Amino acid sequence: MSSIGDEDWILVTSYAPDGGQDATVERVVELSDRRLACWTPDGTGLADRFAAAPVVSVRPCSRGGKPRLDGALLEGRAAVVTAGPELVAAREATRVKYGLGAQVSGALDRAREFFGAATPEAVVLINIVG
Amino acid sequence: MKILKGLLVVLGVAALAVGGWYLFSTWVDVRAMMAVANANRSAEFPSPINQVYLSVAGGALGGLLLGIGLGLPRRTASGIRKEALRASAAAREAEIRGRAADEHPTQGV
Repeated sequence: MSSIGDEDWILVTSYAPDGGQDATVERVVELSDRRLACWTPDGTGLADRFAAAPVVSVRPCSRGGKPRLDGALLEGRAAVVTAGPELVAAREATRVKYGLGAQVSGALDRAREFFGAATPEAVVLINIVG
Repeated sequence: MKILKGLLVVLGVAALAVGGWYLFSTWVDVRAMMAVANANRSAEFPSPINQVYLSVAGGALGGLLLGIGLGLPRRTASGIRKEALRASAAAREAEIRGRAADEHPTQGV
């Protein structure tokens, strides 16, 4: 049976205190059993988002964010890390898994930083709890 | 239901056979009538047998399509499966949303 860490894209949905929800499509790698990592070259706003709403649901989806109905809908607790070995491990694992796609994202982000404000890279760590 | 299905199939085939027999009989009669009618007229009349064929073909096709239409299920198996999966995902997400509200970091502040 394939795990959600083997999926190409996942939909990460966080639930805001006001009842709203915020869903984003992320690349995913599995760092260890039931521990997912979504590396992004631009982590702007992620820390605030997941600090306010750490309970998330994750499910496999298409590149455009359409959930796959036959995929498992899992519950997790998210935390954002902007430095340290987990960030490095997630970045490397993402580069290995996604190859050119991850490199293009990184290059686009560097180009954005060249013309605008710095966008710190970050990794969203998700512990699957159910 | 299985007996009724078999019975309807048998009745349908019998009705087709009877209809075919009457169509043949009509064709023979119309040919004879047209021969008599045209023999006693200066101008020939067109045979109505083509209209009879069209009526029979239309009736048979209509019956077939109606039967298929009535026999087909209203929803496909994959549609039913998708609906069940959607309902299951919605229920699961509601559970998670409930826990998110319970465990919210600013709760009680």
